[in-house]
Amino acid sequence: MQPIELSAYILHKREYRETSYLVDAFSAEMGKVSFIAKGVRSSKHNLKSLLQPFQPLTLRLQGRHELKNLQDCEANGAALHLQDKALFSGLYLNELLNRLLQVDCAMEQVFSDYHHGLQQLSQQQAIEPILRLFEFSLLIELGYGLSFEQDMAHGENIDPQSFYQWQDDQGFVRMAGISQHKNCFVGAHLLAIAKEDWSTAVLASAKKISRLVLQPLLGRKPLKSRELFIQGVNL
Amino acid sequence: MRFSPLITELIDAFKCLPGVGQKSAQRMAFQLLERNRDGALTLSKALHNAMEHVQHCSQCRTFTETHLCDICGNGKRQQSRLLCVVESPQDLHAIEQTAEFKGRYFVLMGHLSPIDGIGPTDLGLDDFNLLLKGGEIDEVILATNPTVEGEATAHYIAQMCSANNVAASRIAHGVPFGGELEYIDGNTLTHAFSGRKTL
Repeated sequence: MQPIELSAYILHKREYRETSYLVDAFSAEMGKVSFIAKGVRSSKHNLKSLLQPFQPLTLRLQGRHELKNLQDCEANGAALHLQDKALFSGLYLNELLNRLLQVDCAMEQVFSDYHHGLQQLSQQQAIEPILRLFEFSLLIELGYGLSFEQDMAHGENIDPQSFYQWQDDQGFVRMAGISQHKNCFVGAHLLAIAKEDWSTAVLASAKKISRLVLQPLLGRKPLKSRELFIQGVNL
Repeated sequence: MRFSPLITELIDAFKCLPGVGQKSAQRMAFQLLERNRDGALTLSKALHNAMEHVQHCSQCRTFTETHLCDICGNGKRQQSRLLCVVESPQDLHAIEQTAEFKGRYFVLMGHLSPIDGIGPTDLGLDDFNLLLKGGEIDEVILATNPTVEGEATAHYIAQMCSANNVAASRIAHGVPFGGELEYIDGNTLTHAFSGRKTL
């Protein structure tokens, strides 16, 4: 059987048996893919330094089942060197992908956004916009129609002056009257997110939106990297 | 054919060892029964003693059967104001073998790994913070593994140190001694270049 060739990033790996790893990777062609890297942990193996997160890879995998075998892997460019908060943010993206990605479902757009996001993180650019854009692009690709420009329920464009509420099955819905409550957003912020026109207030709204929308997908188990990030910032 | 209950129990017990499945467990059980009963009894006693008595050192978290491990109990080393942070007792042992480092240790027993759900408290970093606040440490040497998780852990601890005004340094990584550049992987070489020293 011909090996499959994939462009991928490692999300996570666990030790398996004496000298092997059980690896979860994110590939452009197949979404999340799991494989066994045999013998890689032994002291003489050269692939150890390649099978790390944030290293663009070309993987050659073999096997018919969901759990493949690693035949070979090559670097597909230099490893992205993340530091400080950017490193914790990168771990957050990995945890998010590991939780939300589906097996065997091509995700080329998310993959290129991930690659782009990591590059920006490695260049020490402002972290929050990178994370928000990636979260929104992931949600859209996963099929959660996230539209910052239209109110689907009323079939109209978002109005900068009105207030909108997020509803899981309908998206942003204009609220009757002008009463505000904690999960409502002003139209101007939604439009600013669509245009990637970030200000502190817009970023705060974007963060709230991403939490709200991700919450039902992530379930009860909180993201550990988020905790880590917050603790790291508070030190 | 099924084995007798005691033999089955023994085989199942062997299977808790890493890398040991049904077949190897069976081989071990019969080897001991047939040829080495004394060795097996010694093994069972050693296992029992170790499992009953070995715990974490109250100061550095490495394995020991006493309240303080040898290094933490050594007055001379306790006076050192250097502290080395490692991921596992094996790492501590490797550094001890070099006889290069004369300070104290702190063993994390792992590294930060959000996907596995391992956070700072699981690594005993609360205790570590108290140690830093105690004011007995001048410099912390971060000897976590050169992996992404190891880096994240080192970075997190470095932040704790700077919050407590303690210097933190990271061990160098690069070309192994006696190695040949030709055979070294690209990532290691990149690190070696970015961490170069002026002579």
